[in-house]
Amino acid sequence: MNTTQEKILSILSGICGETLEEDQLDLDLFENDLLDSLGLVELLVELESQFDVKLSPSEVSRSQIATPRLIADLVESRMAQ
Amino acid sequence: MDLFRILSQHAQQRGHQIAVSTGEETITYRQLEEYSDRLAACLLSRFGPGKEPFVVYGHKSPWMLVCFLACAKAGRAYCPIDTSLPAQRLTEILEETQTPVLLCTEALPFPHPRAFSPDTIRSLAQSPGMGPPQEARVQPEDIFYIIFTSGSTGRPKGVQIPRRCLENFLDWSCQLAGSREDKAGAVFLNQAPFSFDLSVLDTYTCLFCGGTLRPMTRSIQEDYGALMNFFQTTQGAYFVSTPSFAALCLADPRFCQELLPRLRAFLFCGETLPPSTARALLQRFPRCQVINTYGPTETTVCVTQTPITLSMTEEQALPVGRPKEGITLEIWSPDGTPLPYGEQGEIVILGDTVGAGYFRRPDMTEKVFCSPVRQGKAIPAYRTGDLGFLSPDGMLHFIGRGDHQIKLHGYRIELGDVEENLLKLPGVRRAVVLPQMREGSVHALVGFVEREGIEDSLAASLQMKKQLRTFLPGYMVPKKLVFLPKIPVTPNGKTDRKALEGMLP
Repeated sequence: MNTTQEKILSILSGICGETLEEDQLDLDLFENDLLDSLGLVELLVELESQFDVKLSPSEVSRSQIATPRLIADLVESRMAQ
Repeated sequence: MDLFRILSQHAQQRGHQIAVSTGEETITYRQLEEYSDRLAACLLSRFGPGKEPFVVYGHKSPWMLVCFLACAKAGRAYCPIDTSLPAQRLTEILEETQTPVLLCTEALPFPHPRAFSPDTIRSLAQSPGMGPPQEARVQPEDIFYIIFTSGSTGRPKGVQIPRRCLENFLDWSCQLAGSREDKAGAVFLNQAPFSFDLSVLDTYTCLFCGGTLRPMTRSIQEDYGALMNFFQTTQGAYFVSTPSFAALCLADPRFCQELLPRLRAFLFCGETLPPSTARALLQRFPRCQVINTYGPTETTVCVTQTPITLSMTEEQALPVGRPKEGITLEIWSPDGTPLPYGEQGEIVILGDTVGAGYFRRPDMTEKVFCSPVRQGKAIPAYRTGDLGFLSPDGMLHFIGRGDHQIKLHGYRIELGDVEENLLKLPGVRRAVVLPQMREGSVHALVGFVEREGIEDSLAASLQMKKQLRTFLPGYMVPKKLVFLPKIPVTPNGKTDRKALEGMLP
């Protein structure tokens, strides 16, 4: 697990109310009702403040951010730009 | 004013104007009148002139409004149920109402012998023939709608609103943020499901004024791209929603006056409006008024209003407004004595939109509905259980609840209702649900569960939440479950809520 993934898991734990660990990197956040529209907004706010990655809610589809791993990948690809 | 007469006038004077549209399906004022007349006549001949309510099931279809009005024209109260309600809760409400017919504008989750399908409704409504006689309609003292809300014992309770209350409400709501004439032809955006009485504010005010209602489906509300597109294409003038929903929209930088150039007002109800949300809206929508309102379902949607100014948003909390004409507010001490200005106590609402109590629950009705004598006259009143105070200028300030009822994103939830449903799950011995607060509003629910032989694992928590979702609407399912070997109790044996509050994440 890299540091981006670690940070994402910690951000998500705060938003979802559940403690997410390394073995949950591929957990589907929407199917398990861990993330809803309001949670999604909180997530984007956190990504901006912690990684300086600015994403508007209409730019990201649910399939791009369905799991902690996908969110980490998206953040890394944006940081590389 | 007489709602039925106004709708007939619209059918004649603005018959071709769209009354309600989802984009995919559209109904004009003439169609609304004709379809509801025909459907009402069919319902009346089939089920007779009884008083049992009719249940209307669906989501945001324009046919929902046809069904509501058809019930009223056939002399029946209607009870709206949204498709988001779990099957079990729906079954409880069907048992409770003993409805002779279930009008479905969407497919039901299970077959039901008394259901009318969307196709049946359409063909009855479009069949040739006459409308029902005017005398058959719901009369001023008859119940117009019944809305089910969370009950503390784990069973939902039906709030009954007579036609007279709805009309008294509309005489006032049509003047919010501009005159009734200003609203003719204007577009009203609807966010709340029809099973939530906030929708009465947009839907009936719109119909009363001759506007066009644009309901947003759940799938639009959950997809920002679709939502912003919806705002751009609908060109709404009145935005009626919970403050949570507006806060969600504000997360998109495109949500501003340029996107909605015709927008004139935000009307909020259902939960506390945070000053930060109001300020952001006033800044991004310089041509809009932000109106805060307050009121429980029991007294017909809302009974106070005030425009929010930028200077008000500097304060810690926003006022909820002054009462409408026909309503007086009092603040009571626990023994029922009215308190002077500035003192905190229970908010009591007296006047012409106080509803008719709970459906077939005289015991519960008696506890909170009363008729105190004022100036020699008995006035219908409702004890809200909300805490607040009145300032000397008559402005009401809401503080919070005196019991275990909370508001989460506009939804009213009895914590006991969630607790009772947690107890239905296998192995659960005790359950306590507490609100997690953030900036003065409820942010999430946390459930503390005493259960034998369970490790505090994510899998167990996800599994229990999934089971809970089969009995309860999603918004009532706690965000986090904390498993405890024993729920702490105070020395006199009561649940130690304070100790549990200390354990909140």
